[in-house]
Amino acid sequence: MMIIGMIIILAIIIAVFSKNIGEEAELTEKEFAVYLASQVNNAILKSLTFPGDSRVTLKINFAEPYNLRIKDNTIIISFPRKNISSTQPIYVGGINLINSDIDNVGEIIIAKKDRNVLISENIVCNTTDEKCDTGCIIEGECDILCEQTLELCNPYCNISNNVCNPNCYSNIDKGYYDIDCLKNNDNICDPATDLLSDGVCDNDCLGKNGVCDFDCSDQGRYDPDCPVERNGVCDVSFGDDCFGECKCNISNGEKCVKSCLDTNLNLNQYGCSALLHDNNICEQDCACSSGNCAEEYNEYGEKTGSTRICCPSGEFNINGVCKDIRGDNICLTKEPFFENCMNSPKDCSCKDPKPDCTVCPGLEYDEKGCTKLHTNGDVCNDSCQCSSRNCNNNHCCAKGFYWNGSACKDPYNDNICPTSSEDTGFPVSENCESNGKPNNDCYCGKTKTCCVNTTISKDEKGCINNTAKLNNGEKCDYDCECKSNYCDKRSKEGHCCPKVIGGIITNNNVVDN
Amino acid sequence: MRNKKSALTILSNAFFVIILMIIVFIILFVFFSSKTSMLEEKLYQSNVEYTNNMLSIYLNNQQCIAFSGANNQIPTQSLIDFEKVLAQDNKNRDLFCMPYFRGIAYVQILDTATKQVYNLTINKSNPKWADSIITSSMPIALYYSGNNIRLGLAKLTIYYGVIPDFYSVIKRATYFKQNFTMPLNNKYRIRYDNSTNIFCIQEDCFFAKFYCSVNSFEIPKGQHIIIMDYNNNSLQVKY
Repeated sequence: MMIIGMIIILAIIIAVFSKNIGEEAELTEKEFAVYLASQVNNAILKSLTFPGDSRVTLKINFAEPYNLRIKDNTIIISFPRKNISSTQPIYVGGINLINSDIDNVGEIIIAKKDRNVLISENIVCNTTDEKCDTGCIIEGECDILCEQTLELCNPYCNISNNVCNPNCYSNIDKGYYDIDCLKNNDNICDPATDLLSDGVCDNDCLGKNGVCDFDCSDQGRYDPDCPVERNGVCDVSFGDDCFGECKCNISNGEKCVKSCLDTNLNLNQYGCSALLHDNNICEQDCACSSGNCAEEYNEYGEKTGSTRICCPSGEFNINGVCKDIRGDNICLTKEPFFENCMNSPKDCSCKDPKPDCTVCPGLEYDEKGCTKLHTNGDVCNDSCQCSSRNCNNNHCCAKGFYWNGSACKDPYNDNICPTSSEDTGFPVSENCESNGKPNNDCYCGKTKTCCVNTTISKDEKGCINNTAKLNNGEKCDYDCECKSNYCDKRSKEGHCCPKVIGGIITNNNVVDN
Repeated sequence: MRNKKSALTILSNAFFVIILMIIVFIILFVFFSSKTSMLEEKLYQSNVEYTNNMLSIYLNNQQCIAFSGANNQIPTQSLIDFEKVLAQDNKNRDLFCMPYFRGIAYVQILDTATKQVYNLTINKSNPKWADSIITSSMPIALYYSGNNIRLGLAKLTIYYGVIPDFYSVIKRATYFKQNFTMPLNNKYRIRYDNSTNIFCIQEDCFFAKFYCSVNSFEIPKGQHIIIMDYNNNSLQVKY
């Protein structure tokens, strides 16, 4: 009895599970098709999430050989061995899904460029071979051979060149925007025209067809597919307002202020209102014609009331009256006044211990914006920190002076004759002359003469040997070149002459005047 | 005595068989219920992924609220044009700027500085007719005029369920120009007015986004077979 019972139970279990397993086996291919379609749908969506172009790879682990076709927004999966096929729609809008045919691969690529999506085992574009490569659409190229395939729209063929690409001009979703194709009254409204302003109103896009041609609605032609605010008419009952197509009466001083939540405004049904003039009570800046809804303060900058009034820009609400606070001898440094020695020098004049009004990083300021500039010898890191406006070697020095490591020095009176600023690190290089006067730091000595500008051989200080100086009658440019210390330049060319005589030179002879 | 013993044996055997059968049925029940919950989990995961993807697509779409910049260049991820937000605020309409075919979207943009919230789709939040609600959010940069940028948050909620599915199928039919037949077990009255383009679920109404003319209809709550017949740029919805 027990054995019979167990046999019956076993039979039930086997029957139920075998039926289930059998169903599973039959369903596997169909389930795979549904699963793959949903995977492809999701992968297409994923590829669209990137702002630019993208490629998404989908791995397929399925033992049974299969064929995958993408045709007119559907996936057709067939299993040749079992003679089973399944069709699944792809419900992703706004894309040009390119037809393709794939055989039994381990992974497929979902590639997107602009609106074009290609599902393929690899992306190939060879414009020189003898077959149409759909991959060229993804590579942004035109394969001329594809032109003969009317089912295929390659927007990179003949686009924006005054020639309409008929492959891309159709009412179905694969269509691609081509301004050259937009013709009126041909019963084709290019879906890619949707929500696009291109300057061309296509009559065929009017009426309820899911395509909003902004150019038509902008011309005041009613297009029910357009959003209410740009469908060509002012539809207040459907939420249209002055942000959309309902116009404010500008001649009456009205402005579109629907987003302004000030209750003092008298908004009409479009969201238009005249703005509030100065000294009128307000709640928000956007309500005032000046854009300044000022809170009430007393003359000492203390908040005194909650009533705000419109004031001209730069003025404040002082005890209920708009007022320019500059020049009232009270320096209000706090928000919202922000007076300081720069913008209100009369009210906020600088005094000791911070007598200077200047803007320079690294200085300490008081609330009026006053500071004390550094004096000579103080540490600095920017010239604007020094009252002399000269920061040298991180110390303030008088104009033209430099910091030698312990004190500010006049470079022309420091007993140092640096002939190259690179060698010494000093701010200047020196020679025997300074501003037309002898520079004691670079004294030439008794055997030499200072002659900085001469072309005669001179040392690094600008000194020439007295023995090398020119004799009378020789051509010269400067007095210091001549032994006589006189270069006469009254003729076209200068010549050395005795200083006592003076004279002019003719035929290379010295002639007395 | 012998009869009594054999009777006891039969009884115990029968009892044993009954216990075995109960165990078998429990195993079968667990097997099938786990399969159902696995399918539900898969559907939920798929909806989550769909919602996340849709938010990214929406934020990158210049026809929606993405900042276009000069010459409609590739948009910067999550840089939002505040003027577009303002223009689309509080219109109580289905997402019109891009096609989508699952559920009903509810988009909110939050300006974190002012705490102002902008509703860019239908106005209804947490509707009773949604069987499942999935929200995805992402931080954004709101581009104001004058090169001002403020931080914000974009929230996309998709309402899934029987009625949102029904609405989506109408959209699919109008977009892909297809016929559909589907069962509908709706707990709320559904109506659509062709002249105003208003779609209502009980008292919750919004402007619909269909891609061709759809006839006016009213479907009472209950079980129905819906037939959608696309013909000559027009869809007839019948039940």
